[in-house]
Amino acid sequence: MGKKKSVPVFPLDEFERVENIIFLDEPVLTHLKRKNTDYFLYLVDTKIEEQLDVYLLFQVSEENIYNYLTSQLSLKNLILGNTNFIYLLEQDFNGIVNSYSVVTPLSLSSEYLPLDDSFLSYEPTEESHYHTLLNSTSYVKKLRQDAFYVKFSSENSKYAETIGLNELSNDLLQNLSKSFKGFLKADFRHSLENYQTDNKKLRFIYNKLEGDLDLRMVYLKCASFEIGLANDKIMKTSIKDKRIRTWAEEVGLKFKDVVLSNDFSENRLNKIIDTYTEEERNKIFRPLFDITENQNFSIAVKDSLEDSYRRISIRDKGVIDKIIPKKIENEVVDEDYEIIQVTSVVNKNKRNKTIPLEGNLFSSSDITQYHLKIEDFSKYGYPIREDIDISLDIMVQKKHLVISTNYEGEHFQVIEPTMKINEGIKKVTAKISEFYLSVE
Amino acid sequence: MKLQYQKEIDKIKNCPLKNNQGQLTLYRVVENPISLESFLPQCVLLKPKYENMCEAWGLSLFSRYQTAQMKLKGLSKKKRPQYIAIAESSIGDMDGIKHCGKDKAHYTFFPNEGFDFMKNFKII
Repeated sequence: MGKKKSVPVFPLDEFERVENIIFLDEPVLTHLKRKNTDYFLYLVDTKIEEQLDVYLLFQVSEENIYNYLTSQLSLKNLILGNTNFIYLLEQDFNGIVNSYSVVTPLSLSSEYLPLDDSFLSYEPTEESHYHTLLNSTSYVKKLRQDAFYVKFSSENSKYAETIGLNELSNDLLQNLSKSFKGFLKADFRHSLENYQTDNKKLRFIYNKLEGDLDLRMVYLKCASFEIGLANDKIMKTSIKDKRIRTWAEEVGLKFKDVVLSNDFSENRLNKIIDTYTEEERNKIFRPLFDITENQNFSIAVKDSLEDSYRRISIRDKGVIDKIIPKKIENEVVDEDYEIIQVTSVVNKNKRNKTIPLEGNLFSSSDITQYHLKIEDFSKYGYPIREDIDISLDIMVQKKHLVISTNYEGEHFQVIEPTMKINEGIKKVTAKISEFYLSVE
Repeated sequence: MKLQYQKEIDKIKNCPLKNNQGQLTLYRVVENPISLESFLPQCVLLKPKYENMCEAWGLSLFSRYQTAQMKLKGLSKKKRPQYIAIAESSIGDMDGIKHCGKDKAHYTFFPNEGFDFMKNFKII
């Protein structure tokens, strides 16, 4: 057979072969890569008389590769579900692509498709490109079986259920993490103090373990923000002490049951109060209540992916006082601004002055102002480059602190249920900073 | 003992591939009725583009019947008619070289010269 010499019309040489997935005396389905993008090259026809092979070349996501290799997605649906164009290549028996056309999955001839149940269960050897992918993901799958799920949603209809990045990191995840950290330490002591009575040793064990106790993130979904969290039971086999290992394996779910719960019945409440000291309860529950009592968001929990979410809301506010007595709250309150009633007068030099109203003859007002400046942005970790002076209106409405302002034509508002002004200012700073960076 | 297509195989670096030793029951998708045609490395004989591909000088066998079926279902409607049946054989070290690469379910079989396909493979 003589070799034809012709110029390739399609740069198939630029695609790097990753692995043949179906090989039947020749490659039938091959995973290719080009510029960090994954493709499948699928041999669909061999025209003996014309000495041509016909291939489909299409882009494929890593997730779909995983789903296909683990029998969760058929090859047929992988092709038909493709949202990009498919290249139909004709390659001669010498390996030269002589022609190509671009088609959509729907315009593809059914002759070029595999069966409906074209599922594959790929078993990679250690040499395989997929060995780590399939094994590490099965590790995630194992963790996912015992995970619990937390969902944060925005209560602001303007954003549907979506959550801002700053709110997510500063108000929600940080508080969830703080609460879990508080629970870990307290529960470790209460669960194991009778087992290991030497406090010094107990502390030593905890410090050694702490780094490995963090929950693993095994699932993520956006719009509202959903996260699946699990204890890493697989890796915890390295903890030799069986009692401690059992505690470490179960502490995540215990946190979900004890803390992320809707049930604050008297029995449960008493159990919480009996088990954990006031200080421990403060560390565990204060961050959670900061989330549940924030009218801008809601938090919900479920036990498995298939379950429905249960919103955590504390209807009886007396529960909060019982879990975190005022005394504790007062002890840990950081320095804060206070609301004093003031009025503004304009002097002859047209400069604003604020005057405390106490013992003053001027009429009172529920609104005061704060000038947000460049130093405030730096203080809260949002450095900006230009001098700025934004006047914030601070008022009390229905026992909530409302901080609002207009900046560059945009309205910003934060409702702070804790009545802590610096907390509210911090939040509004975050919002303005987000906007500032987006238009900078 | 010489392998079939030894001359062509010798031209390729690191070919044939490492032998996975032992007696194994392996499966091949074939035409029905079975004939020697089912055991020719047709692709490489037809297509020069594969002449330097070591695996193409061997025959694709599968470690399980179900795997062979699964791979068949992955073929396009156009390609499927060539392979309509599955044949089974027990292959040992005296029969040739069998190599398992990146896919645990797939073996490339380089038969010795004189290996009797018709006697050793039966459609199931």
